[in-house]
Amino acid sequence: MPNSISLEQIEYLAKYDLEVKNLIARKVANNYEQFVNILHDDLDDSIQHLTQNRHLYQNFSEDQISVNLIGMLKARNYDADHDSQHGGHVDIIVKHQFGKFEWLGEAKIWGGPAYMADGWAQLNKRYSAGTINDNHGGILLYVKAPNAVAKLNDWIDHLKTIEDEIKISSETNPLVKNTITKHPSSGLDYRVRHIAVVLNHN
Amino acid sequence: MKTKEQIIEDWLDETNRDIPSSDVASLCSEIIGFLASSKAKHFNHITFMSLFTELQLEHSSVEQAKALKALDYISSAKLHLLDMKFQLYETEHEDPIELETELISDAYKTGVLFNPETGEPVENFKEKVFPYFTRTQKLMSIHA
Repeated sequence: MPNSISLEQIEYLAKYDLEVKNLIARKVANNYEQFVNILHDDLDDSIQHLTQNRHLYQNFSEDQISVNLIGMLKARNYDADHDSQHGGHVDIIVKHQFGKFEWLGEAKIWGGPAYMADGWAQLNKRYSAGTINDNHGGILLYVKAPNAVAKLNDWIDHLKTIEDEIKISSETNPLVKNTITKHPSSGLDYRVRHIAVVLNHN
Repeated sequence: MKTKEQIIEDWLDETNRDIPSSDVASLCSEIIGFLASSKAKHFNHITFMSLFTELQLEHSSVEQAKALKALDYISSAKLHLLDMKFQLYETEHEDPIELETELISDAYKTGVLFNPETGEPVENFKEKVFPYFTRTQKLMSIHA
């Protein structure tokens, strides 16, 4: 028998270190959809960590919170970066498999739907190209105010007024909504996951 | 033209820049130092346990998790001194079967791994598949 540990034993190690969860699946992801699905799971775990430690972030700016989130993705060996020269100054860029796959995210501290719309325009019109290995993105609402789910719903309602063709779907987690719109550059479907990050702390 | 020592120093600097955790970065440096040494010149089939033995690491779950993260980084697109590969040990008595990464990827997507030699699904495949590492050209070049 081998002088090594099996895939099952590796999964068991996630009990001791959450960053090990999904390690093999991340490593072998060989299509864009697989990369995105695993990234979403890793993002959710990282966001949960932000929420659990929200008392630390009360005086943090958007950039500072994003840098923390990117740090957690880097610890999972994503090629994640902040404010890189990618068609501008995108908040979060995640690349994988030698740059073959790419996911972009715009993050804003909740300041009303019009403020979020700026982030949407940057993601949708300036930073992303909406091509087959770049047709998923994220909008992160850092909500320091109470009632994060209401803020997310307000944002989605506003988005419906500024995008003609939009399909909206929910997930089990009410703090996440998914939209599909036509990307202005490629004309292809562009899928964006909108996540309300609970940072309210009394 | 950089010397071997300068190249290794660059790798260590890159590691310290890329890895947020000082524990994992430190272990990465230790592993890189070993892989770049003459002792590892012919160390081709690298398993977790063989590395643990060489570096005299503690065989605890916490240390294994740390080593896994360190090896993940060293075999990632960023540093790429190693490649991660996979072998199937379906029974104790047979030789291992090399598995293409694509098979593993498909198995993670579908939940089923097919034995590439028989075409049959492998029961409880995660118990029977073992990753290992090989040296990349980038690593081997400093031993040239």
